[in-house]
Amino acid sequence: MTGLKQTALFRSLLAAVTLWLIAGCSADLIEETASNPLETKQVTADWIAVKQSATDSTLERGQRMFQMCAGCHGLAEGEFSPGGPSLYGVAGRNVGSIDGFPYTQAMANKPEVWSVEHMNTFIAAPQSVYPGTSMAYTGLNNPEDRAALIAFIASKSPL
Amino acid sequence: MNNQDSKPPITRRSVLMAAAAVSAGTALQSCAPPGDQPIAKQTPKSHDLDFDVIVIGGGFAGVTAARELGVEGKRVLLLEARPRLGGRTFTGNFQGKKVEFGGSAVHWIQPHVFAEMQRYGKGFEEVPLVDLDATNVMLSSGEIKRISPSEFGEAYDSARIAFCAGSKELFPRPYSPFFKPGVLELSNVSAADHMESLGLNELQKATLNAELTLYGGAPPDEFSYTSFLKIYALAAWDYYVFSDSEKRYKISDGGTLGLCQAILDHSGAEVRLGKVVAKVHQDQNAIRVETTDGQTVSAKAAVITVPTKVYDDIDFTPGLSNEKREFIANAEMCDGACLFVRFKQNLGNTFSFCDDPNPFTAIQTEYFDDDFGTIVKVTLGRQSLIDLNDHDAVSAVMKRLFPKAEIEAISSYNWATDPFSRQAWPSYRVGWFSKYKEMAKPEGRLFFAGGATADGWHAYIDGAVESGIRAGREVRQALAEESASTGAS
Repeated sequence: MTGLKQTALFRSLLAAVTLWLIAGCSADLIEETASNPLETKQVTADWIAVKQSATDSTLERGQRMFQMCAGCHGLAEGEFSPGGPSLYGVAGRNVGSIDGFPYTQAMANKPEVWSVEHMNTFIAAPQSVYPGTSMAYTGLNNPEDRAALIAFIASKSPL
Repeated sequence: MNNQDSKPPITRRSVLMAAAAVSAGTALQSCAPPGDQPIAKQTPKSHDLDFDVIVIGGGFAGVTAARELGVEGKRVLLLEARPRLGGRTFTGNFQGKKVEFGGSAVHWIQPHVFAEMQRYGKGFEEVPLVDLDATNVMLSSGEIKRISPSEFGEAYDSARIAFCAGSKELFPRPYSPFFKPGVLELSNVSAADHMESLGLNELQKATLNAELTLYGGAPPDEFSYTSFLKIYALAAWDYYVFSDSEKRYKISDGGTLGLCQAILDHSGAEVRLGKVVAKVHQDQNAIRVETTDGQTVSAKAAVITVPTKVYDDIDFTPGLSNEKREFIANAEMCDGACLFVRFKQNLGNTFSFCDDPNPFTAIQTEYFDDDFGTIVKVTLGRQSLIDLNDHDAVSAVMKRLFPKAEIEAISSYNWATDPFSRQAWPSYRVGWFSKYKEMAKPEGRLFFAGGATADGWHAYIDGAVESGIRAGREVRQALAEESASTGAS
């Protein structure tokens, strides 16, 4: 990656994080359920902020990153999802909450919400966040890659 | 839950579970057998347990065992930890193409899987492989030799022929691998030991060492020499058949998942996905299996089909035999993974071997044309040499091999780090091939299957199917003997 592209990516990441902070998101939010309408609204606002601030280069990188997920997960509505739950509508959804999907106990009906922050933490080390998850993916170490991936998911989400 | 009814109650949750599984295309809940081949009517239970048999694991060994018992009228429950079937096979998507992220090789010389393909009407899909346009060998130093396919073939074939020269004498009956005492005498010889004795040239050594790294999922000095020789013997002691059996053909008509699902559909077994087995308890009368969600189910017998390294995650009471525990702790080491890369350009039909310790052990073209570009499948014998999730690291190695090509997309599946496999294909460490039968021995009401227990193609789908057939037979016999002794129907 060129230095110019790196700078652009950092700027977009910074913009997203800034918007997220301005929106008043708290780290505690990830421990809450989506049953509180105000908190749900906040989580959704975070995703919208990421979606709106994503640059073309970020989305291009995020799309490349998503190819690692696409082997198991569908992203579009109704798309075949051969090895994991569909990620359509994941933004703001409760963890392990798709009706009827055979989650392992490690991820079924968890109290957390897929906020931007929680998704970022999870993608970095899925098996540390939910030990025993059937997700074999070991984690995306590069924070820029994670930011781009989350931006791409946001861009495809019905927000 | 400790359900004492013969059938679990139909609940909203169970209906949703089944619906979701079908929508994911992975679950196979089907009480209706395919076509006009009805399963035998399930015999009324002669006991108060939930099922006759519980099968743990939904790979080829598990579904085959379930089918072998289901068609005989046994009430079978299959528990699978993942949200999909297939075990260490996985038919997935990459760039709009159906790809196999796990085991995929099939051949008509592999009798068990070929019979299943015939039974369920599955054909062969050929990957390019033949008529190669370009071949590369990356030496252990990292230097790349761009050689013609004929040079490549000459080095690779002659090296394997030399390495496997004793296979016919040692394995005249490969399904009875210890028929000749000489095999056991070579138990402590590693693949590297034998290779060093052959006086191979640079290219021969690099291609053969890569091949052995791939089979071992470890450096060849850790890998059993004779276990590789047995596979070669199974391929009719012929290098050409051997190559075809390991690389050239996949299952068409739905891939590995299609065949796996067909076998399970035929079984009539009840399937529960997402169920991680935590405890297996047996007593004089029953098996009780507890999953991590706290549910318990009971049966007369259980068939365990999980990969060898996963046994440690299950609490068996009473404990497994010392022989099994030693095998589980020491026998297998396969550090393998799979990677797909799409290039924008048409690179043609290529094959590359990268000698250990380069991470991308074998690279084989899967699709290529001018409009689509190229997809290559990379099989790694040692995934721990690279972070497969680091695109920059993957791209750097690919750039060295294909300097003019631009990467469009990358996707991988890491079997060694998957908590429900913990290893890729079965492979035996030096000194442990001679003990594989310990893992197959029944213990009370517990029966054992899985590729590592196969007499034949242990590193292949065929070995898993073979083991499922054998375990099914053992359970049928045991339950019949028990019924006869107790007078139960």
